[in-house]
Amino acid sequence: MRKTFKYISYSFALLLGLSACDVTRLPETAISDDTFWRSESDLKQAANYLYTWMPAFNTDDNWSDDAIGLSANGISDGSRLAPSTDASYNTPYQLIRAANNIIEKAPRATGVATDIVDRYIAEARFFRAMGYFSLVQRYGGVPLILKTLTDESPELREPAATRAQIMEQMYQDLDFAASKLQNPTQLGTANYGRISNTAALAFKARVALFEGTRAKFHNDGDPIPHLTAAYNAAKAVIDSKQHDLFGNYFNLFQYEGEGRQNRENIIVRQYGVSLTDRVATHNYYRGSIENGNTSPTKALSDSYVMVDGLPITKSPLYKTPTTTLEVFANRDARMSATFMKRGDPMMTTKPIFDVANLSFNKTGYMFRKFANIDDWNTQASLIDRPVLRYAEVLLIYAEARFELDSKISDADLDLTINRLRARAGVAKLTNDLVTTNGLTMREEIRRERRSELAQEGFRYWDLIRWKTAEIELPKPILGIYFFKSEFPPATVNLTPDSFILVQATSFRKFDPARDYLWPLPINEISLNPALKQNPGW
Amino acid sequence: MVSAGYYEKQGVFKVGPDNNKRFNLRFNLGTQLTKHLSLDTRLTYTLEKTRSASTTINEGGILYQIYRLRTRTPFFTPEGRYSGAGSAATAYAELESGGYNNLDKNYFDGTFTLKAADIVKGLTLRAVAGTQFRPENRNAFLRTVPLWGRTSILRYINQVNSYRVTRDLTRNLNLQFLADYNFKIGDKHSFSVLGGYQWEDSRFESVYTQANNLVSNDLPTLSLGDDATKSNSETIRTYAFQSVFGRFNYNYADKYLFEATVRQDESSKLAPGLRKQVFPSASVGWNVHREAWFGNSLGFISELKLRGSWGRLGGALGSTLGVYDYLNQLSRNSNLVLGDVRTSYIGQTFIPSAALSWETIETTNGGIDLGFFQNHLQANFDYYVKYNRNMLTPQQLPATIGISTPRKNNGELKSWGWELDLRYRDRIGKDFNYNISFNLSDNQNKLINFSGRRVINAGFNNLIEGYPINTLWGYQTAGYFTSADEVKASAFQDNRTGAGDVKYVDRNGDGRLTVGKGNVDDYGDLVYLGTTQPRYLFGATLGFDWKGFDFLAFFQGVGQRSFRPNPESIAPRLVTWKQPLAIHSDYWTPENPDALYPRPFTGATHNYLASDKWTLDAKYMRLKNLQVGYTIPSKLTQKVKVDRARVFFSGQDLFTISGLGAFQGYYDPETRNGVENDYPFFATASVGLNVSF
Repeated sequence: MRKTFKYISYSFALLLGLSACDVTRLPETAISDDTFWRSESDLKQAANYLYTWMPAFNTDDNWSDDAIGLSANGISDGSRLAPSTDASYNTPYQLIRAANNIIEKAPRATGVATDIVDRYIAEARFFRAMGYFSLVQRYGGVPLILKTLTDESPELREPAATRAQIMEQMYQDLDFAASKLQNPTQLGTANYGRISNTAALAFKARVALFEGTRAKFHNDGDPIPHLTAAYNAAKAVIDSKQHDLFGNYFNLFQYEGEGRQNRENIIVRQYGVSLTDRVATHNYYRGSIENGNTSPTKALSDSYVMVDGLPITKSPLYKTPTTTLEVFANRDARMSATFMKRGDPMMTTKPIFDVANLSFNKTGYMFRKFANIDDWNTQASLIDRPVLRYAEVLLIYAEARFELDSKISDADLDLTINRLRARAGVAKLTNDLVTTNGLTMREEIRRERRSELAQEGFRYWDLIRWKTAEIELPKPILGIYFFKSEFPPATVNLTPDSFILVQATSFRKFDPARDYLWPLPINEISLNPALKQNPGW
Repeated sequence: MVSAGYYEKQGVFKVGPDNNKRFNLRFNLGTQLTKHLSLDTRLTYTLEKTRSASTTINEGGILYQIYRLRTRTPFFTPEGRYSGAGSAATAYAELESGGYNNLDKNYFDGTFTLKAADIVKGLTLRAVAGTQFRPENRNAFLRTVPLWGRTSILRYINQVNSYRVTRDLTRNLNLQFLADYNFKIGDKHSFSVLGGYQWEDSRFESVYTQANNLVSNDLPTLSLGDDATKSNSETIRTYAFQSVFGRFNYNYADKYLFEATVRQDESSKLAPGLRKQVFPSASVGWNVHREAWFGNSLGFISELKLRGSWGRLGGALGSTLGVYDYLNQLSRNSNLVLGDVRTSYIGQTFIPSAALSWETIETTNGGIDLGFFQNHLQANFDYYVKYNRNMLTPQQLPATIGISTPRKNNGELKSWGWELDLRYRDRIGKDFNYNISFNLSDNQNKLINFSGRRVINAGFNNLIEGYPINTLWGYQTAGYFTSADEVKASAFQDNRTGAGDVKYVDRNGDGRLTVGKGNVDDYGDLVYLGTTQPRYLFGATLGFDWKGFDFLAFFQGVGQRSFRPNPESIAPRLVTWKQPLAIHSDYWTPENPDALYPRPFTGATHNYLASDKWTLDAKYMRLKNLQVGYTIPSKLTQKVKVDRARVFFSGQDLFTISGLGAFQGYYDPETRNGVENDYPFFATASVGLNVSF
């Protein structure tokens, strides 16, 4: 008996000690991080990853008074609540991590020339600044993460950095990028779409103008260094002679504006490559515009000047329209490129536009940039999205100059805004025109920006930095005049003077103490108690 | 022994490919090699062919088109072409001409057992080799179909045709060596000792290739594809697993039973150094009815057994864990355009979980088996408590981490439940045999620790510390608003809210409808709406046979379950092109204030927030199976050399009662959560004949 037990226990001991085979199994179809980061090709492949975060088509103008979708927008009308999670917060940090990863690991490629390594680090630092800009615009100060974190990193529980610290970091990153990157000519056609040194400068101008005007109008910090930086960066882009305006404003957002021949596009998100090889396509026209997920408002429509350069309230050319077509008569040509009007090509099932379908386009207006009848049909558009155009650089130059000096010379206006006006078939903006007609220069510069960049997602952020959101956003959202002879009978709400009323002012509010910053996602505050919610949320 | 089977099922669609065929062959051979040595060979071959449409069926696919996409435009133009007018449903064209998705599975499985019995008395040695060789071939063709207007082609389904070929091969090898020794000491002490070793090796290989823009729309082959569009990829996944184990079994006169097991498992999926772990378990049993003192005192009890067990096992890491999750891998993709050409990129999408280790499942179980009246009535009852310790949890980290977070073995789930099983069988007269059985079980759980995950969202939450897993949360509703004044007087709901809209209750009285801080300490106006886990599962069987006739009815059901349909599927018109269903006609008007639905208008998402109103009660009882058969007396059948012939009717899911109320028929109580337009649930009826020679 005892002997038997002894044998049994020996056998068990033997069995447990046994590990007959090695269970180690390694991946055979994926590369590991340890064996990567060797060649220039590795660095390029890693940097390419950053381009997947390039902003895509969106309906961000619905946040502003320029546009509205099928239903009211909580950011625009002030009804939103703090979300539990928010891609607007998470996504930039994913980009920032990917960028930090390259900044940390690119130097491992010791066999690659330093200037080449620096070039990819510069791309990464550009994208890191892009991520932080998107965060700062929304949330103000946020945690400043400059390295790849692990689950144990103390940085995860740190409080937010100040706005100024993040701005300083962005400037450093963008200056580094501008100094190390190639210009568009050096990049050539094969590398079209990669970030160039002018892209870094132009983006710096955008960031600095935002911060400078915000500081000025919110009375928060010294605006001068930022405005100066914006002016200098915009001037550097202009002086580089790498860019120029594209000939036709409407074609800028069509297939005619594709590729490197269009020197106006400084940063672009590319779609392609063909209908048979659909690597990346979008459905912005049909999905967002035609389906009414973003439709322009009366406020935007009214802002376009007449061909004499005067707003509709001042111009002798303006006659109260009696048809939808007359709304566009004698107006800035950019209006016809941004709004659909009777007679424009529309879609396969309705080749010629007459009036907007009020159950989709709630305002009775329909956007037109990127509208393409073939794309409507295929639902697979290849038209690239301009993320930063040379026109914006000209506008930044003019606005920064004006906000620095409280005046701007006719020469500077000719260098910038009047080039845009020439393309739009509008008379020049001059100091004389402003004084003669009782206009204000600031308002006209801002109007120019609104008209030129309409439907491209700028308006909301402009209202925020100018501190005019509290004035513009509580106004009602109106649409087109309800021309009874043209629109089919429909039950739409109208104002007493017969404009389509999409959202009454009683449903709209903007709390200046709260709404100039976005609420941090509730999850983030509970996961990191050191993070403090923005005021009022 | 050789046996073969064939099964064919036509799917729900009458047009286009939608069927499933299965053929299987089984071959069993036992050979006594020597006096002690025997070899048992079991081979099976299964061929399964699935034919389906090239497009998706669920969610926004074909079923959505059939149920909800406006069908006022016909499928065909007057000329008989497929119509593309408006946003017409194109399901017919897609099914009939849109191509196919063919999956062929060829499974070759074999198990070989070499057994050496009684070389020493009571000792059995076994070597078992199991192999699986399973190729799966998928060929899918997305065919171009023109959709016509009056005179011209308006648009296409699959404007660019595409042919996709997948070749998968799974190879598994499973080896076991077992030594089993049984011996007795005296009359009453029985022992059994088992020692074993197990090895498992698995390799999955997959090659995928695709070509678009084929020259011919009717001869799909890679050879005719546009070379610029050809792409391919390869995936290989491997894992290995081994364990050694021993079991000791002791039994005293069939009265006292004891068993102890210890095993050591090792898995390649875990981090080196953390792959091995030892798991012990033990159980005891007491056959009270075999005690001499028992038999006399309580005669009507024929069986009474008390059982208890405790054990630890390595957790079911299999499904939740990738094969190389502990390694720092990069992934490559090429859906990026730069310089107007397809451009690839390489990036890191997750942080490796460098300290991956075993999950431990610790179970404590107590049970009782009872038999009455010579075991005509039998009853079993079990109660168990289970702890999943060191559960793998995706860590909840601030978004500043910027990447999918690594997992850690730091979760703990407690679950507990009971099972009751009752069976009664008897006979009336000479020919009438009958049996009745009933079972009922319940399981509850509570997430004790999960990396501090305490976030609560409106809707479905799978993991919240301190609550069961898979819970539903939503707002409490109080009927509909009846006037604009009532909207004004209430807490702010949504700026579209008006008379006829769902009225939500502002539980915390802050004048707004919020989720508060969205965690377990402050979840604002949300209320707990139960779990989607079924509770009180029951089944009942009733069967009898009489003179060749046999009858069997099997009922099955769930006593409690919350179900939240996808808002897209329950709401009438979140977008203009969704056709309302008949059920949506019962909507609010001042004259119909207690309607099932609020006032209908396009895009009324605020009426379909997660709330108690749209959380359905998915308890049900279903006649899962009904069989009536008749066996022709063998006297007759023997004349035609047939041993046994039975004709039968069989019905599956013939009858259901559920707590869905008005939604019965629109949803099935067994529908998956949150899936829009799920493949429909079928009742099937069949008649058949079993013949054996």
